[in-house]
Amino acid sequence: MDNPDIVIVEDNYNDLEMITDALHELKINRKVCILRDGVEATKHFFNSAGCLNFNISALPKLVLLDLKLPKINGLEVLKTLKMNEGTKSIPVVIFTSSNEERDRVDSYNLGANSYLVKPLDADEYFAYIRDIIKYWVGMNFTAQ
Amino acid sequence: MINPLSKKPNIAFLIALIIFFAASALITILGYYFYQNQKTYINNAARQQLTAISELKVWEINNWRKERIGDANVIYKNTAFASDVMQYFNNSSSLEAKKDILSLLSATHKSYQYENILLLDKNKKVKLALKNYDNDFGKIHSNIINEAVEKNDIVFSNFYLDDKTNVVYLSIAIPINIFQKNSRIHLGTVMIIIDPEISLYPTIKLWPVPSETGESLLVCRYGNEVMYLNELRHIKNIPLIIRHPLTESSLPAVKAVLGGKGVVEGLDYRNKSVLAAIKAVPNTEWFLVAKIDTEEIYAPLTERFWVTLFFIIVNILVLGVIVAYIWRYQQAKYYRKQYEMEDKRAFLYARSLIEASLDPLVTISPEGKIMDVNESTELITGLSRKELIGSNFSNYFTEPEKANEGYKLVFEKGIVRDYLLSIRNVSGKITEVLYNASLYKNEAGEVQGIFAAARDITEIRRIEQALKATHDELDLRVKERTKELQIANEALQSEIAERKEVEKLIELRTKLLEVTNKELESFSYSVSHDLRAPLRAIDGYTRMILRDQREKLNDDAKRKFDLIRNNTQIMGKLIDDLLSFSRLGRLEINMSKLDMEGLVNDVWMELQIINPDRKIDFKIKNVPPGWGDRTLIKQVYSNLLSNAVKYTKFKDKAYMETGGYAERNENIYYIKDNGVGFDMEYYNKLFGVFQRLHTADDYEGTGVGLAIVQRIIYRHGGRVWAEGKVEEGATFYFTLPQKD
Repeated sequence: MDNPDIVIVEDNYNDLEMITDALHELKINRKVCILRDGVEATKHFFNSAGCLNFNISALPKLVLLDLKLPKINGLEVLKTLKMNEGTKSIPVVIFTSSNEERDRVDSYNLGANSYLVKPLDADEYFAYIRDIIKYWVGMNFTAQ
Repeated sequence: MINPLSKKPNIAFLIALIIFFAASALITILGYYFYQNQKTYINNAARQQLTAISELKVWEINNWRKERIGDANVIYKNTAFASDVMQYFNNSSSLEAKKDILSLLSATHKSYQYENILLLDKNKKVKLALKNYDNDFGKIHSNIINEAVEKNDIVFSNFYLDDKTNVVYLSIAIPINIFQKNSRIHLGTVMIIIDPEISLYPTIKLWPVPSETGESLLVCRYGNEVMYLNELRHIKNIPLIIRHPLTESSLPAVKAVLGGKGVVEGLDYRNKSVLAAIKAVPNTEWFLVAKIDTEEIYAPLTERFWVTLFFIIVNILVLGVIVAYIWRYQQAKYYRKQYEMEDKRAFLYARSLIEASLDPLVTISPEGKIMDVNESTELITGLSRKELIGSNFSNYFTEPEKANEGYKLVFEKGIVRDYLLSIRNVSGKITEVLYNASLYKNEAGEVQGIFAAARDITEIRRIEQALKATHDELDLRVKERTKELQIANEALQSEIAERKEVEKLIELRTKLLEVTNKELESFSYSVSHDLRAPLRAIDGYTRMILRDQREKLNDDAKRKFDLIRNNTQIMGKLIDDLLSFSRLGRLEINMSKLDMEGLVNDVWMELQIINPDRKIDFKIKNVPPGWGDRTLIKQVYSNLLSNAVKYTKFKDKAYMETGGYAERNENIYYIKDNGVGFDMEYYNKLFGVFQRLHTADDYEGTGVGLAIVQRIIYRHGGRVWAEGKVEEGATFYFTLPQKD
């Protein structure tokens, strides 16, 4: 199995399209893994015995996590990742449409590294993705 | 009842007591006088005795003295002796003269046990002596010798103490003279020395009657002291040594030498109380004191005291017994009288009771004859007492047999209670009565007859019936009332049941409301998120098209794509406003004291930053401090002031004013502007959500601002209203309750 650099957990097709479009626009050539719900996300990291599927060295650089997910919601996934010794060091950025104070507080309490509300403006949306990658994956983009 | 004991016996008792005490006092006084008399008698007897003894002693002493002087006279008046002396003095070798002299002296010496007899010449030199003598004898006795010579008579000396032998002596000096040619020639002196122990002291000492303390003393004055001349009975001493100063006036001896006479009382040398008789011894300086202790004198008195006391007590006791007996006798007499009076009174009392009774009372002899009746019986039968007594008792009843049966029953049982009979009056009237009868006996227990009391029960019967009627009526009313109560109770029960139903309904509705609230909340939440997602997508795709197809699109297409993107932003703003409005309902309010003026200033500064081009005349008047949630009230001011800014933007001279004042329990705040104002006709749409009174083209906004203001103020318990006129500005008011 390939070991991705960026894991995107997102159920909304439109958002996936916009994120991947942005990554494409930014010409990111890293391995990206896309997971569509909480169960898929959990299975990606842990086997049925609850053990980590990766070597420590092969951990992803970033997990971009939506909160509103089918089956197991994003907060549950965040909790699992941050409670596990093997995965708690992976940076998790919450990227959600919820501007609720409660969600923000819960996420930070569970160990989220960043909490970003998906902006309505498409230009802003692009800028958010660019800055996330720049900061957490450590890529530099020359001004275009 | 009548008290059988009146106050009288107590008074009698008191009198008896007084008599007793008075008599006792009399006896005691008599006893006391008797005792005093005895005392005086004894005292007098003692005085007489002492006087007699003192006289006897003085007589004895005087006698003794006379005897001694008599002895001296034998020498003194003996002229032959004088001749012998002269002869002897002239010729000391004249043995005959010496022999004669010695013979007389020896004879004298023998007649009485004199201590010594000496012959001295004119020069007081001892010429002859029957016993040994001191060399300076003449010198020692010169005083008395001189006195005898001077007086030419026998001189009896006082007691004196011989320094050498320490023995008391008396002496007699006898001048020896011879008469020649009618002239007296003094030749010398004869001295007789007497030892008082030989006969004088025993004479004094001897007490003629038996006595424990009786004593005679011979005393004389010695300067300012009194001197005891003889031996004392109670202190063994040498006479002449014991002396007492004359200041000790209680001493009988002192009294004697100071001229006291007769019988005196005083304290003797032992400091004991004594009775003493004083008598001077004639021709001497001596005094005789015959004394005896008062204790001894009164010794028989003590015995008489007890005897007297005993008789007093015995007399009082006897008197007490006599008085008590008399008192008791009187008491008995009194009570007998009282008892008789009481008996009479009791009889009258009992009779009055009988007569006073409303019940007909009758006594019946064992033969069935009436013996006595009261007035009630006369009334009930209509017959006089005279007619009734002696007649057969059963005659007056409607059923004589039944009356007789009852009568027999009394004899059988001794007592009969509530025996129903009817008495017939001579007028024919019949009275229903209940009889109570019992046997009555004399003191010996013999049956004397029957005592019967009838009770007229006519009235009782009438009351019983009235009572029954009342009771029946009451019973009926109780039943009616119970029924009423039952109905009322049922009504109450059903009302309670209804209320319970209503309560259940309310509970259900409350639950429903809670559910609805929760649903509404999740609804607005999902609306905001789910509505935004497609908008984001629309904007995203439009942006992609514009980016990827820019060269292929004409300008009109590009403009319309830009409009699509603008509208998505407007839609987003609408959703945001709606969301914030719905969120207001859930927010918690943190009340605190608010500096309203500071709040207004903050908002105004922010507005100036947002609208740098606007020039507005804004006046902040008095804004009283309020009580509320700082963030929310700031939101209120922000919305109202930004509205004012917005709606004055086309005015040449924009004017705004804010202020407030306290009124009753609330503070009223206002924000006034001279903007476009509004038509009061549409006032009811003013505070509605998404309600706008002006076009969005002229005045941007979503129409949520005032709705938010209203909601915030309502949640604070205040009110919101507005006044306005088209093109003439608007004033918005809101109130905040004052903290109590």
